Amino acid sequence: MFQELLDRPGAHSYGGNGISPSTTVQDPEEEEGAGPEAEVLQALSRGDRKQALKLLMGLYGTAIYNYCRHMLGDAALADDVHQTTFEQVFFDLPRYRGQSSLRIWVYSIARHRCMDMLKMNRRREQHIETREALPEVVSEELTAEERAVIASHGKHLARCLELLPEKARDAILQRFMGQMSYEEMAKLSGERAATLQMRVTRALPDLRRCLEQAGVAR
Amino acid sequence: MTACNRFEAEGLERFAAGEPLDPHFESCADCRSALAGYRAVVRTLGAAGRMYDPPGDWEQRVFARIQRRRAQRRRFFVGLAAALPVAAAAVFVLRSAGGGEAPELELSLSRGGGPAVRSGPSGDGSVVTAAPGDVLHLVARIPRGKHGDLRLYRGDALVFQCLKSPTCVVSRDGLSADVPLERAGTYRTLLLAAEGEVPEAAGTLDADYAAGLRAGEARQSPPIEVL
Repeated sequence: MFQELLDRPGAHSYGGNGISPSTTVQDPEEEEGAGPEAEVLQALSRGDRKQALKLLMGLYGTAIYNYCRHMLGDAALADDVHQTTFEQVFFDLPRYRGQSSLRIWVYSIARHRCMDMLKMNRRREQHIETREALPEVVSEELTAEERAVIASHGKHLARCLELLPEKARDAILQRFMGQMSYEEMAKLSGERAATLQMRVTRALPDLRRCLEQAGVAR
Repeated sequence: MTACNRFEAEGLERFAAGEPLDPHFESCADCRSALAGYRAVVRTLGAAGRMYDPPGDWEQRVFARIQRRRAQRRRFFVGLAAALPVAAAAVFVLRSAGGGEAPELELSLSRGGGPAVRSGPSGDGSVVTAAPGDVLHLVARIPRGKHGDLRLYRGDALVFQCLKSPTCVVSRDGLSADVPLERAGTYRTLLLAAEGEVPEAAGTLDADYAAGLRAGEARQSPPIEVL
């Protein structure tokens, strides 16, 4: 069942079939030419910032929400940071220079907001009580059976991600959930691509062990 | 007989980079098993991006926030226009209630020597943003008879210290410097003032801020996000 979800359009096919994980992680917009981001840019060129924001919300709203949920591990915090991110997107759109795709740019804002939230909580010495027993709002696009499977996997994935240091969790999520290349991640974080690659490589065994112990990734 | 661990030793980095793998990893049972495990991890993470839906009304909530922030900005700029006799590029001024005896910090941003690219209120949760290459102009007024220093941090790491920089200008009134913000990240400025020598930089914002408070006065600016 979980495999069916993974095989749905848009699912990441990283290393699925061949001898090696040969799928190059790419920006979806690069694969389709300018793609849907072109519409956003057109709206911006018309000065229609509200329409540009609406389009970006449609394109990346769910992905950014899931990134925030997994980074923060808390639905209420994720709601707040997610909305703050798109609020900031609206005000910063006039200064978008095209130095990266809009997707990376929006992720970059979300990442900063998530890191700020994590830092703020650390400073207040408030432990973020993460990892709800079951996720309360799983995607409505899923069937009931898929929702049940996701609910179970989500709980284990959240717990295993929580065990990773924040920077490792961030890098893992960008790489495999956000499907970014290390170069894109470097643009986003300001760190060296090689550093990020090493961080991901070091975190994967811990994540694998944890998920296998939970019976998720076998 | 010991298990082959070549995959984690040699193949994992290439796997994580999406690069072709040595045929050994498909022919060796131990490595094949490890590879399958990592592929399952990656598939799980790939699906995690669609695991949750945001609240149904989140888009409306974002637009409501935008309306609120616009209203706040209008109030701020009305106040700013009344307070400043000339159009200033100030992003924010940090000043305490102590009048002339307190250190003050003024920051502004410019793009390639041009005009300020962003100004806004501080202390209301607003975030000042800039782009790589923008220049941060720092002007610190240090009360007479006090020692001071001006430091800039990217994240928690010290990236600029006025007293140790050849580009820092020391005058009777204080310190000033122009610092290019070359890399993405969250920048914060720390202004220190003390009757005696200001504490040596420990290298992290938290440590330096705490040491500054112990020695005298320490003021942190709101964050500047370089995106």
